[in-house]
Amino acid sequence: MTPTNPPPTAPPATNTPSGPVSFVPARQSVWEVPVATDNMVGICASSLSVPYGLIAITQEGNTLTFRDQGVGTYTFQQSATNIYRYSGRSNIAAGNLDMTLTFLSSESWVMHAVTVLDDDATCQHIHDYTAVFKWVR
Amino acid sequence: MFTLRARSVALVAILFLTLAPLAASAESVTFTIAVKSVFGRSGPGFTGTTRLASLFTGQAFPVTGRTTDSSWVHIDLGGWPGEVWVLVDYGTVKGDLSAVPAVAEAETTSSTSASTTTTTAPPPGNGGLLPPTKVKITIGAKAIYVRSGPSTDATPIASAFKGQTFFIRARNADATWVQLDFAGAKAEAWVRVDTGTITGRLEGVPVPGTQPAALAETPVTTLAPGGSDTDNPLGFSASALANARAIARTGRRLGVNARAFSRVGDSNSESSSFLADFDGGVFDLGGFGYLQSAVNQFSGSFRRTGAAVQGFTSWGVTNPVYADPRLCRSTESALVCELRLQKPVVVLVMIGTNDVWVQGSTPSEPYLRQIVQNCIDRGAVPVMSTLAWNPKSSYYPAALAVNDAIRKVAKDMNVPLWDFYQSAQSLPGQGIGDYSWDPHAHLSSEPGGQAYIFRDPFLQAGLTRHNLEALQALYTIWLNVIAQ
Repeated sequence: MTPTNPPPTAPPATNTPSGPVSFVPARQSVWEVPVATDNMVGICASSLSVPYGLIAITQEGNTLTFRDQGVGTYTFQQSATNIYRYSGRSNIAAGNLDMTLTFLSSESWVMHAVTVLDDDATCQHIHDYTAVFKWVR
Repeated sequence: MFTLRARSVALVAILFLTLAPLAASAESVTFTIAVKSVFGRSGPGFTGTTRLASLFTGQAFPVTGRTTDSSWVHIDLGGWPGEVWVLVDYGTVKGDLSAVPAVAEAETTSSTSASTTTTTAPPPGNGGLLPPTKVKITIGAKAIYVRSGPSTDATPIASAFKGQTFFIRARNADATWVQLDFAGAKAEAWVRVDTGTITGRLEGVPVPGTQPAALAETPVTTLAPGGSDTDNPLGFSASALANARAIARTGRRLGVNARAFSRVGDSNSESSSFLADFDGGVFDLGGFGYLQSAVNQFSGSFRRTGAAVQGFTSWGVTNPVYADPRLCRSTESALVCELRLQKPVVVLVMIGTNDVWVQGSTPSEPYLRQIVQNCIDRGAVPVMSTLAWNPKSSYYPAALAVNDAIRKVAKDMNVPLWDFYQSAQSLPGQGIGDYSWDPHAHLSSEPGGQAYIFRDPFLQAGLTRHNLEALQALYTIWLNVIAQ
């Protein structure tokens, strides 16, 4: 998987009247994420893989719709400028998922995701990865 | 890789200094290289011989000998020490090859275990035409007349064009003309042998009006690993190939490019170790020299990744959200966009790795069907590939389920199935690398990282086997669909 440099026209950042600048694109944007390693903490039965490839993000008010390569979506809530959180069920496995997505710039964000599967409750599956901007639609 | 490239560069440099293309004399038989480059070898075969010299397209050499079956020619490199041989398929012969002394037997790559087939006299009916043999001719000239008899005085009845391949029904006595199995024609259709390249043993082809030939025709097809026929090394079903021909006919009406292919896939398809080096890189087809025709046919498509490869799921590649707006229209999925941009005659559909992770929420089958239908609608032949997978992976059952969906869709929609999962079973680790970042699904590489040498031990790596079989898939479609 080869990271692609952002185009000359980066997605527009929305400015808040005061405080830090938001890097969240105003329009639907598509990002590329690499294959993420499963860092397992605790007593674990098996590893968990998460989709890689392209992810579409749409901001609406204080929420962020996160659509990976599965059909379902996740709705994140803003917790601070450029920081969004999701806590709920996983779309890809029976278990609970906590995700924190932090925009570093208009060209990248980082994800910290922790999954605890129902049938492997003593194990935390931690995925950290960086996404790079591809395009806006 | 570096060492191989360095050696190749050095060899090329030496050859440019020592070899000059030789002018063909009117009296002699000459052989002109038709492929981009090919190795001249120390003997008539790919095994047990060494590569002596690189020969380049357009170079012409006097032919000083041939194998008894005329499948290899011994050429004069103008002072080059020792014998230099080249496979006839890599160029065109000018002159009467049968007049050149047969000085060696060809490598015994033919199926010796198969029963031999004695050529027969013309059967009754069928306008007196002999049945097609397994010997073929591929037209090398830009455009030629197909004539009603073995003479330039005979009436032209049709045209044939460069790259078209025909099975041969018969030959004339001196093997300078061959009668084609031409589009089901009931009348005789002849072309001169030197307008194309013969594959197989022309001597075994019957001469009309004579007694059955004393020489038994040995089946010309060679065996690929696993015992498959080289005409169809991946074992595509006859029904799927017939359907592929129907799709290709639609494609011709829609203006597809018969020399272009596309791929649909994920990171295993995106890798620079996949197919790219067949466009101008260094590769070694080993005992699979027949695949050179696929390399030639699809030149220009190998290095092109295309719009439909990028960590997709089957759902993602059919959803316009993930299509690159710099290339694609707003309503186009990445796949439909790729089909419009490339107009491929064949599409290698190698998707599903990412589907495995989302099996619980996203079924593959409906989207796989959509992929196939999108291809068919645009006259592109989809070749569906299953996934290699690590059997120790916790996702193995999910991967098997995705593979079952791929097989089901291929069967239901009657398109060629390339069961890569099945062939990878014979590889160490089932073809999957033991990578710390992904132990599940990414193909293994040979320690040197060389994925383009079709010899052992390289062929024991998933990446190399993937390249070999992708090329075999393209070759099969070319031979059985496009060239028909």
